[in-house]
Amino acid sequence: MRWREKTSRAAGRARLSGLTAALAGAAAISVLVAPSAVPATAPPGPRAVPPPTIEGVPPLPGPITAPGKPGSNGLLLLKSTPDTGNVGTKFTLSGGGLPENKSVDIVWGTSRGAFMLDVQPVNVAYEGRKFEPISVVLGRAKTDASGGLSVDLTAPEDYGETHDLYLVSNGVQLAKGGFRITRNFSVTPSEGVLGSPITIKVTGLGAHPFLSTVAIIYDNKYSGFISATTTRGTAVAQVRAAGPVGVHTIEVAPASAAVPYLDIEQSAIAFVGKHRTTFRVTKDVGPPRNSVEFPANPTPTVDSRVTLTVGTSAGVTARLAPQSGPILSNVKLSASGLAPSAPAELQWLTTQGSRVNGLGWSLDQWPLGRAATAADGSLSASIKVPEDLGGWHTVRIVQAGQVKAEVPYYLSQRLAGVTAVKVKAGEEFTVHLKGIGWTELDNALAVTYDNAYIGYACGFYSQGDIKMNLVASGGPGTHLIDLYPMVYKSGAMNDVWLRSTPMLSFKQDAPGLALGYRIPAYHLAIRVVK
Amino acid sequence: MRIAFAVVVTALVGMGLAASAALAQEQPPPIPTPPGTPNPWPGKKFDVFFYVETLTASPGESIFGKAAPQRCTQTNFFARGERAVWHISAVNARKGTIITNEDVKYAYLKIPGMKNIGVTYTPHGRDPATAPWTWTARWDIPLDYPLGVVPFELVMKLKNWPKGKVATFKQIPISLEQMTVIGSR
Repeated sequence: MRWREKTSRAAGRARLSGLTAALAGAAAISVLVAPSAVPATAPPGPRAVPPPTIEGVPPLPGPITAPGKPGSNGLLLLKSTPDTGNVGTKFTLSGGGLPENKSVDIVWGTSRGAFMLDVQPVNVAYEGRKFEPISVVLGRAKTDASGGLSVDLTAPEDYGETHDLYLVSNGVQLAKGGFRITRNFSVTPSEGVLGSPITIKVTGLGAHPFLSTVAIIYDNKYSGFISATTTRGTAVAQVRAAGPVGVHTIEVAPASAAVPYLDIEQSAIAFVGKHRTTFRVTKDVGPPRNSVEFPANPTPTVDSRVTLTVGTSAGVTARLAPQSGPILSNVKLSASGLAPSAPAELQWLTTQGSRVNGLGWSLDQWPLGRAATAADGSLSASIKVPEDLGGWHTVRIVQAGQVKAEVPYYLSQRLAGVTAVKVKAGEEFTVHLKGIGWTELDNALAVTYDNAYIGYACGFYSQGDIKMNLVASGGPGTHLIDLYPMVYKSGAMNDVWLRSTPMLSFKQDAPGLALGYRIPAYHLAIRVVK
Repeated sequence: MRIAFAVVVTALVGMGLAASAALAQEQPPPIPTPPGTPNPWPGKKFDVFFYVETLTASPGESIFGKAAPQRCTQTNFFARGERAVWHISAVNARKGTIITNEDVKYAYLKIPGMKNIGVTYTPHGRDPATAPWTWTARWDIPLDYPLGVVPFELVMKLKNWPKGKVATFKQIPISLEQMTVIGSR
């Protein structure tokens, strides 16, 4: 790939947008990220990005602590009764022979999951997942006068499989036990009209690549996978009730590789099990309205952004309001600390190119127009977001050939339309989207037809535009087309997940959320007629 | 625990490939190794080098009547009631010699909550004359042993060592790479 930043561009590619320059004085609208807080360059190399805080995601089961070290006399054993159960199971931890009347920490061994990403100026590379072992204090207790201990605990909402339990006093492990959190599944409701949402909730997914993922099989069709990498083993996903009217089989299957593993009974990890149930489609009431379902909108945990190259000069502040939106949005740019009473060029930083034709891609800058600063060095302008790739871009203010400010802007995806919605089997229909990105997190969407994964569509080479020509199939009635976020793993194979399959739990567990990427799912439908 | 084994296998494969290549075509003279530090990975100096692996046992060996589906297979996961088997190699790092029962005063495994388990030097096979000899230990995992990691410790004392001096081995604390007791398979 080329990382060279183009300094000139063909006039034919110019996308001058409407620009209104005005004297400063308009009230700045608040933005999520202060430009001055954004580093000029992204730190190199892949790293585990801290998961963002998302409502509904369980927190750590307790404060992080050191695991302690075994004492010189070795470890005593603790008994958990029961020692296996779902999240929320009450159990008693007991032991004897301990020091009398001793206050102890009950230390729970667990993990901290994160996605490994490499944020570069022209790409975000997906490099896999990382589960870091950590220990937390699950509770505190005191031994009795005879050195016995009995304490009632609750299995926290945490990653599944075995957790070590230690009694620790002053950094010394006195005794050891364990508890296994098993997987639990719920699929609700059990019936509904065609197209109604079916919610699958899984707790107790493990903190290890081969214990961490399940997939949905709908009538023997692969629908996508469910993960809980950053959500402490709990995952929530939805598929829609696909027809025809009648009973359909849903299986939540183990899927280390993101696709179902069908003979888990013969696996070395057969204990993870699987879940089967049915859903009854009661009626076909016609195609439901097309909808776009966005994920959570947490505060990003990483400041690094693609296309940011230089940063903002000292003493200069610049803001965009709003900070995100679809193509052709009008955005207000305000800045201060610039050279007074001087012209300023406004530029849009983006990328152009392709992963597949051998030429690679590079940063590109498009003119957004010119403005003039006021006598106090402030600037207020209105810019129009170009019709371009989605994801993070940079709006630049340049004076006298010097970059004075760079402000990130998130260009969000949108549905342009579906034509036609009433077709005969065998006829073509088109799904049209705008604002598709170019990084490995947002360059494509995975597609299902009646909950059967059929492939993916990419909008990089077409500069954010996807026109997907599909063929209607199946009997007369409503048929569902769903597009889901996916991970396009370019060269990174540091993960067992297969690439380009639907991430059904994208609303809470998606690698881009920590960087501010909000990649939606699209729920579309057509009606097949005779 | 399997790193040493992997290194040996890789070395053997590498030697085989090198020999094949030499037959196929004449090689240019080797590029001399640039001078460097004699020990590029300096660490603590030890008297004994241990190679330690854990394996499944054969059906019928555990007193609890349980067995893993595959016998004599390297694993760090054992279900309650199964027998865990240790195969251990020990090398006198000062002399460069294999440590046998002739050299050892005692050797045992410390497992939390259990009596020490003796480690013996035995042939692995029916014919002691041809079978490889290895230090071996066995543990039938109680049906109520706590789930989770088993932080065992190997202790070995050579005959001529002074009082209080022993060689020990503990597992590297890498997640999911340590000996672990699970409820069932």
